[in-house]
Amino acid sequence: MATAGAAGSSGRTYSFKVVLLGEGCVGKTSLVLRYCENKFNDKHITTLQASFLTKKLNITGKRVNLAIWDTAGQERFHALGPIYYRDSNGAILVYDVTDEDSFQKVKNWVKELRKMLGNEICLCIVGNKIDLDKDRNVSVEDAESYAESVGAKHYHTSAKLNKGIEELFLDLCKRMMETAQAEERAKGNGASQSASSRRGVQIVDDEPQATPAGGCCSTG
Amino acid sequence: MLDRACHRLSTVLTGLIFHDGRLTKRIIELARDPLSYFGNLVKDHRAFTLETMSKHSTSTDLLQEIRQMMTQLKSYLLQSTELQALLEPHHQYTQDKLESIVEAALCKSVLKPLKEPIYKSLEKLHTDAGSMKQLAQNQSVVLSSTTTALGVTTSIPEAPAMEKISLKLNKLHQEYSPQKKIELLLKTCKIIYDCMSVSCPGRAHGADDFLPVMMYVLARSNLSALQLDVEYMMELMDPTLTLGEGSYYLTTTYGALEHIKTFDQQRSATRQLSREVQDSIHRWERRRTLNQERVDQGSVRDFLTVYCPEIGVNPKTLGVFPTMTMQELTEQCAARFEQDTYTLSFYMDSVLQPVAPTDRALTVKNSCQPGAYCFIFHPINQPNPPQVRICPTDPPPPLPAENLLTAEEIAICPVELEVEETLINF
Repeated sequence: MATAGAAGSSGRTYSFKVVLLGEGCVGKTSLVLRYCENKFNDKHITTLQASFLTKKLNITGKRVNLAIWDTAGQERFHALGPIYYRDSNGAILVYDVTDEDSFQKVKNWVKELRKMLGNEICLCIVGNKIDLDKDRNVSVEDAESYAESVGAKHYHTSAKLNKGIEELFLDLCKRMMETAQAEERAKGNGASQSASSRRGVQIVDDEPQATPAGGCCSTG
Repeated sequence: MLDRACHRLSTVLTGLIFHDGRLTKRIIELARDPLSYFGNLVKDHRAFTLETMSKHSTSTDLLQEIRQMMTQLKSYLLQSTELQALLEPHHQYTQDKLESIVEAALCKSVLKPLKEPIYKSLEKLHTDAGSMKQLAQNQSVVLSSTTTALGVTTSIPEAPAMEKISLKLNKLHQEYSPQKKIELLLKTCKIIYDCMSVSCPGRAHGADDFLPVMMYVLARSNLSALQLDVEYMMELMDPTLTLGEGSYYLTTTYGALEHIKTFDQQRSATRQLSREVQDSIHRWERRRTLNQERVDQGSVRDFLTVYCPEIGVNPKTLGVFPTMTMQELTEQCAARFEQDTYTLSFYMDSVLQPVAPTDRALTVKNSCQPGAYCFIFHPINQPNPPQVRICPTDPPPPLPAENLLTAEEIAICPVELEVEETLINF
């Protein structure tokens, strides 16, 4: 409803699932809550909660529905990871810049995700809590070069100061759209409705794409 | 002001629900009409499922087969003129809306009669595999663990809330529709969140906080029933809803159950990926592949009922692919009836019809009205014209050849009759 200005004229709606991974206490929940804080988003019965959140976006005229799945970060629940990330289009791997150990955990997740899902999934490595930069324990260069080496993108955020979060999600969405489009092209464009079941990418209709003012316009 | 707006909104919604309900009802009636093509598909699907149900070695196979058939029935119906004929000319449906109405109607006509047999089969498979016992053992371990050992950091549901949760989960267990079950699961989660907020009002809880409390709650529930429910929902839910909130909390419930199954009090940790969790990846892959095959009408699996050795005797429902020839169907009959020397004949209105071995079985079947034909598998030198017309002039005997049911089918019969009653009440 809030995004009515953007709806209607665009051709497609993409639906993406994004999974949030990272140790407890790195601020996953605050991060995603910050991003989804949206007074119009009242459709879900668990609105006040942060385990499952959705967000509607409009990116260069295309509608995007994001479903963000939080996971329990405690070590004891590690084995449950696959049931959460299995059909994800993107993963956000969060660590705390003041906590070297949480960065190691991110590395473990990357390894597992690449092994289980290959290169189909877009990875974002996120150093959170940059408001505590004076206590930083993970160097920027290390983190960025690691991300590059595994084909992931690196971001710095502060949920507390609401920094870098918008960019993170917008960038991720664009990458997931590119991946989805590449997949469609690879399939030879001949698919009609039947493409809709593929990895959550839904093609709602095939009107010619009018392009309203670019960029993301759904956040308040 | 707000009241009035709410009232107006609810009037509009009631109107819409009325329309939707009427269409749902019509589709259900179509599914029960033995003279409609769709009704025949549904009837044969049911017979096929009941006959083959005991042959599956895992619960996932069993459920995925059913879901796949439902998806195919759905895609047939959505493209059919039979559905077009049911639509009211002045009422426009979006494709999404239409799909969800068809899904709901299919649940009622396909899943409702199958629910009891499905649960019986699932229970048997799990009992045989020993997973029920394992779950019960670990349930008591988790029950005796402190909330700290479980990782609980918030307040937990007290007795009155647990009572409410238990009512919701019982109701969930009774439901036949995966979607309605999921709605009840979401209500359960809502109660849990409300209880968690007591200690810390206004704070939004993420998965770190929620999962341990979920485990605490589930350990105090009927776990063996819930295990079957979770499987039922995961495999049979509408595949278009796999990204939604319901799917998320279903996954969490599944995760909590898996964690309880592998729970080790000493370590309080589950390092090892359980076999089941590892398998779940492959199962999901399979579900994804299966559901991708939908929509293309050419891939819709059809059914044929064949009698042996004469009309009305020993009916078996065979799954038939579009390209299958009469020759191939004969071979399939030979395997099913265990009669190598018999031959297959096709009758229409009691008259033997000439059919070439290379003719496609479905072309033959579709060349005549539903109910006006029959396939008979019989000894070669014993041509066997039907004594009676098969097509009933007065609809409908819902179960064919009731006096000729096999023992297995008799066991299922009361359920089906009961269902017929409740369908009328709809």
